[in-house]
Amino acid sequence: MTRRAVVALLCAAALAALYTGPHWLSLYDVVIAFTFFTYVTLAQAWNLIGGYGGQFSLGHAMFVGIGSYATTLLLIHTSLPLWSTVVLSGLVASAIAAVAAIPLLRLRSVYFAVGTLGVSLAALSWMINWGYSGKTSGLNVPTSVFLSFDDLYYAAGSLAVFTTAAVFLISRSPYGLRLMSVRDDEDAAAQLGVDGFRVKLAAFTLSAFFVGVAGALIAIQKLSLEPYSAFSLTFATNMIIMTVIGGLGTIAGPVLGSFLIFELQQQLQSYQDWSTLITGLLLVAIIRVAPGGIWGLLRQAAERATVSITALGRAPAPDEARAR
Amino acid sequence: MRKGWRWMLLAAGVAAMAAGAAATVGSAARAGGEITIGTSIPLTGALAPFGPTLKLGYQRAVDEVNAAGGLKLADGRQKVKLVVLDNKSDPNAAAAEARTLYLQNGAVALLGAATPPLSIPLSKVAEQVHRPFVTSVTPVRAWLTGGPYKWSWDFFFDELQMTQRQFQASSLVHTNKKVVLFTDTEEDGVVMGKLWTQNAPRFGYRIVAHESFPVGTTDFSKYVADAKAKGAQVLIAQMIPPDAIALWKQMKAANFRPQTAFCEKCSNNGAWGKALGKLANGTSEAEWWVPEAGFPQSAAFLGIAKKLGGRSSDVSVVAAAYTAAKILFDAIERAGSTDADKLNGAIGETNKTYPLGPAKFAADHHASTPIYATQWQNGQTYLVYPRLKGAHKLLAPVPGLG
Amino acid sequence: MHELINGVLLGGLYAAVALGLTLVFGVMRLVNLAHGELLVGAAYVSYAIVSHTGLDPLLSLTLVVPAVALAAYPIQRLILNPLVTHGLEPPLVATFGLSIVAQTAFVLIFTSDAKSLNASYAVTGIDILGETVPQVYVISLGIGVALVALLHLGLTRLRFGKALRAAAEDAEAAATLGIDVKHVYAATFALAAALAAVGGVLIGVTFSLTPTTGTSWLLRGFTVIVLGGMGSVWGTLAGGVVVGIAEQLGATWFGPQYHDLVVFSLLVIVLVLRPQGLFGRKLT
Repeated sequence: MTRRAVVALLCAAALAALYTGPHWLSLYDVVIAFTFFTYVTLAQAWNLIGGYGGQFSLGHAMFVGIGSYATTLLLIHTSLPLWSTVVLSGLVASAIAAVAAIPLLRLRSVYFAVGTLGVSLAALSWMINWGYSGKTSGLNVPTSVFLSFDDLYYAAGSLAVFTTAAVFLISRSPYGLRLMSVRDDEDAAAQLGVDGFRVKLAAFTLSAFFVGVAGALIAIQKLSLEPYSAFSLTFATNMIIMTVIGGLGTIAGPVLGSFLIFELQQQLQSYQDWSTLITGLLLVAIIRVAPGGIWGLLRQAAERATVSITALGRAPAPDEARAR
Repeated sequence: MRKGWRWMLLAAGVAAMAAGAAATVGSAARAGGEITIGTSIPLTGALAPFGPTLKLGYQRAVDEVNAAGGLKLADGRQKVKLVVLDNKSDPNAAAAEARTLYLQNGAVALLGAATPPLSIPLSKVAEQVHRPFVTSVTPVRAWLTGGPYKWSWDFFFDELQMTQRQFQASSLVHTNKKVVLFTDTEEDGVVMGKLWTQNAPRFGYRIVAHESFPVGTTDFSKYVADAKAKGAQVLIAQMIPPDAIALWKQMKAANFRPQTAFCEKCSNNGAWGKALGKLANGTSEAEWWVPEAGFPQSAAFLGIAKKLGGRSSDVSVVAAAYTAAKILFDAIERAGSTDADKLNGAIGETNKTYPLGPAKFAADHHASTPIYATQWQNGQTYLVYPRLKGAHKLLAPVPGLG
Repeated sequence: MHELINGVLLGGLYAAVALGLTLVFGVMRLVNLAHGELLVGAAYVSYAIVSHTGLDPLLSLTLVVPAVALAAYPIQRLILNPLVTHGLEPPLVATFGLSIVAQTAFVLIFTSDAKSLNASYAVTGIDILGETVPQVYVISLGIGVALVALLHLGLTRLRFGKALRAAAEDAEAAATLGIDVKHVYAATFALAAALAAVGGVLIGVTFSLTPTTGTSWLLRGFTVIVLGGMGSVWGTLAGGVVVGIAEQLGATWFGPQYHDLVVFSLLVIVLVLRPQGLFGRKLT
């Protein structure tokens, strides 16, 4: 079987399992799957600009908050159907990202990171003082809006699949190639005629769109919003940790990382105040052992295992024996 | 051929991991013959001072019930199992844990955390899963903004009443009736600020300065100078302990010594006295439990206060948590079952006096506790208003700042 | 006028707080997300010493500084050094992990109650040009300036300082000159921790401590070093003063509730208009 066929088969199986989920998962699993799916979406979206784009954004939490508030405000003040408000929230996040990108994308590496962090914190400070959005009291999603746990599951699951597929297609497209060339060496890419700014801008705004939509869904699940948790830095740090631990700049990395972090959180929930300590220790341990992400580590391990297994079946050729 | 092998192996590895995880996920904790009660409290994070005392109160109620053999249901006695999770003071984590407790641990009801930012998300989850939620240590007006509630209940003080005590207590001594407010931009800071401004004229007081600042402010010298310049003799603050500690030190350095000083949300914990030592003396605060009120188990809780290091709001949190749990347990026994509808209805019928005071829920599911004013004197807090038997004299001007 | 005085005085404290951050970035291009916990951790160690011995908090630094530096050296050597070559992200994740380990450790050891390092000069005022300020504000300015000057002298006169600057300029070239870059990096981190210890104790004396206080000081530290120039030592002092004054004026002009917004907006504006800050990126 070719590699492509195997991967395609696995993906088809995973999708089938996902979309029949509510039938064979317990209610609890359906409910928490929502969180897992949003993690995947957020990590994959960050991966687009952070992994493939090479721009390390520390401020992506802002787009979660923007998505959450945009959808809630639209639901309160207009009679638009739910799905349009969700999509519009994504677009609002993109628009704001585009505006922020103009000054920020000129910055490189750590300056960009600190700049996005500054903008994100400024946004939080603004929301705390903005009367229209309820300041620190926040807003409630109208009670007329009701999504069952199954609805939330499918919505978040579809978003995760859509985001992953989108990032996958982008990474294999000519645009993706241009994006990665800018990441690897912007000056060299410029010499080849690639406009670094426009390429990064597209990635940044698209990334913000997915995060904004995820934020909208999160608001609909939470039913009540206030600035500190909507714009929580934890979203940003989670996105980054999941992607980096999983494998930056790969498709499977963010999915794997989200799964690991999510599982970790689930398992440690009952350890009370020790859970954060253990999470921190594991983070340091994992990144120390696998700075390139666990996905890279798994591929290496699989490669080595494969070489050893196939070599077992026959006498080693002279050069192979020396190499081993 | 080699490439195929590599991917097969990788796929097998990933599948094995997924299978392993799926086996652990979804393994619900079924407590046979036990009633599971859950709670998501802040054991770490900014609200952590509330965590251990909430846990103490809930555990006390649970131990008491289990020592008597368990809760009496229609079909026999069942012991209570308390599952405690740490939400790290994060509203997002609190909501996630509420879902875990209800749906994975099978909790028949949840007990609350402290403060609206945590209690409201917990209430929302209860409303979504249609199971009861009982909380205290959450000012009721702020909590009600997250309503309307069908399954959630709150028994704590009403801010409308609480924002009168500062003026009433200050009237026990002579002041020039000029007040300076120090409030942070948190929701309760904003709400309390408005209520104090509203209530002041009713008691003959005038707000001459209102300093408002974000949480995490460290330098207050400008505000202190302003208060001094305007001649304020009554200080009312709504801020978190770390900010208040900085403010108090700067007030002393600036020689600003009001007649009365109230530090809400800050001087309540035992940590205030421990952190500031003599500087803490004379700070007053609103309080929702004092032994002098004479409600059930006053002596027992006074004993707990001594074990916690002296009288302060720490033991009031224990009393509040204990009360919330007792309300829930009494309702379970009244309903004779843990069926969600029956239990919820039974909670609504609560009409009894608990350590926190008489509990009877209004149509919007809130019940108000009495409120007192206490003052730090020699390292502990003592009742100064209302003038119940055993109340101490309100010391003025503020001794610590002199 | 009040704002300027306060701003300058607090600027000294902010400089002391941010020096370690700029040093680590200047030498290793490492963004230390655990810097806040270095500050707070040292303050907690001081608290432990002070509550047992009654020693003055600033004097306790004679014990705190070596303790903290000794603890920091292996962290850089064993955990962070191997990650520095892997780009920006892994050290960020590692220092983030370390920060949450530290925060939880603080809660477990010291509880989450707010604490204060008590000293008479924190609650006594002094008259400066007509304004009464806490004495500790003036002391902080003195300490901040002293630290910056000492660090500058160390970097320019001492042999170790020159090794540090060489490693900062070009690690590979420095290695060929016989400089043990791994040791230099670890010693830099230890030095940064030592500087943070001073800043942390000043924070505890002037304001207060909780396990999570580190995060807000990390953010303030970022603002200071961005303004002053990430990697510049004198820039940290200038940045500290600018941030101090900006906070005070921002509160007066826009209203105190916008205090945070003013500071973060300033951070973004400076980054966009002049990313190298006031003093540029050279490590002196």
